[in-house]
Amino acid sequence: MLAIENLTVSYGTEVAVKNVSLTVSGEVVCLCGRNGSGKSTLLKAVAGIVGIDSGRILLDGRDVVDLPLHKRLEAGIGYVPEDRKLFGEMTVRENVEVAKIGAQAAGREVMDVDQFLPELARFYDRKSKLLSGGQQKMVSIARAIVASPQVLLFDELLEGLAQAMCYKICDAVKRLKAEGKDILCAESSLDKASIYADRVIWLEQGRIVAMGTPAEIKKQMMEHIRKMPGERKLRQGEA
Amino acid sequence: MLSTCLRYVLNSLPVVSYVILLSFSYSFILYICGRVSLTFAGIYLVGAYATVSLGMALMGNNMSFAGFIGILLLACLLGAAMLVASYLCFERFLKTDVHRMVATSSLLVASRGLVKVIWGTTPVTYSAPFLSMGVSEIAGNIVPNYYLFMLAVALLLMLTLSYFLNRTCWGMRFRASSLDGERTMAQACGVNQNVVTLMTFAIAGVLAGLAGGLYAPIAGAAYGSEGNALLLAALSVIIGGVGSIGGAVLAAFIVGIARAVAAIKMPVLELAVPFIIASITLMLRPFGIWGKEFRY
Repeated sequence: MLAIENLTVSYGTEVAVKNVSLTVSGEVVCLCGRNGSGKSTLLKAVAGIVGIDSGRILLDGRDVVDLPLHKRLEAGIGYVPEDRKLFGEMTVRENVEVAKIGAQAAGREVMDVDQFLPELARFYDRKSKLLSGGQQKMVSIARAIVASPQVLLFDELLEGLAQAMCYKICDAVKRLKAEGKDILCAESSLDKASIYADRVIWLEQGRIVAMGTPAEIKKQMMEHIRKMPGERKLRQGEA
Repeated sequence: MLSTCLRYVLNSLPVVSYVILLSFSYSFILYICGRVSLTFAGIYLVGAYATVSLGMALMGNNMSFAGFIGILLLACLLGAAMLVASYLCFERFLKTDVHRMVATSSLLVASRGLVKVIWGTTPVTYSAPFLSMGVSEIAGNIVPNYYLFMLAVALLLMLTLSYFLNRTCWGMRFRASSLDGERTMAQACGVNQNVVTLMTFAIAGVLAGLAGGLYAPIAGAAYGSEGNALLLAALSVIIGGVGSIGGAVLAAFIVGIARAVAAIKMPVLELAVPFIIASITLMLRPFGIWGKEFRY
């Protein structure tokens, strides 16, 4: 189980995440909100890419805040960044191999990625920079799951993907959830989050403002828009 | 005609060998860590002086091949230790390329100062290894065996590094690190960036120290020779491309042979030739003949 307690993260004087607490246990929780609401920063803080100001990040009761970035894999955290960040000159096989070597060095069990992403086998020997956006996303997921982490962090998993690829990736996420993984995602679109998330947490300016199932959050938002004055409502609708 | 061409090639072998080592020393740090570091030229100078001093002190004119190899190994270790120390004490605090360029230039000046304090400014020579290895005849050309020894050492090291980078687990970590601009995703895959960086600096130090040590029996150790070494290494990296072992070897041959030809045919152009080749390369292939993608 992943538990985040009173987490605050800032970039210089700008506070990006303010006193956020949440738990993820064998489910898919999706952070939603506008650009700059702190979704990606929260994921990066759990992954160890950005430092935190205060709070605790507990993985099965163990505080991982002080672990350096390269030790987070050993602790059981896998991260898929928004822009995939593959090792472009390396083949797909080598991209996955890098994380596999890290997993073996850390004494972690190595997961069979073909079981979750069977399509990957078709382009194992291609350079990853030559793949399409959706295929690159698959490689990025494979690289994150090969060390069989307990917690998976997916940043903008479905952004810019065609419908067919979205369903394939959602299918993989659902199978990972069935394996008992704790999955925390960030999506700017509530519609996309509702395809695969069990719970949605709505962030505004780094704070949690709503929490519930995708349907509940959608309903709350519609009510919120209905209560707005006419002109603002129109602008919000257009947006 | 063929014999003349071969003579030029054979005469250029010492320069080719030390440029292979030096340019890859510079290029390796740039490729793996995305850092500019000019300190390697200072290490080259120290390597040359250390080899001459140790050779004179330990063996004098009674040269033994095993003893010379031992001295070269010491020069390598000294180079690795100095470059790692310069990273730990100084270079790791430099956050931008501009800072690194300026600060490592000053480190280069500092290492020149160190040489001046210890050995003075008078060139010193130790040619016993060169003389004791004798000569061979290749297609009618007399070539010192030491030239062939230098080339063999340089190529063997490049092959070893190529094997390390492309066939080992650690090599894969190095390559992943070189392709990750912020050095975060490689770490998220379990790569310890600090260890990779230290190993990179150590390997670059070995190459620079060895370049100085190997070239010293031919050219001696001369205060100020690091400027020429820096120039040739930087131009070879431009010509061959960053991070490419094949590029480093090819560029060293191009620069070495072109200089050897210019020195005989047009001595006035000897120093300008590498610049001319680098300019033409930049026009035709901005990333070098064999440049690899890397992030900085």
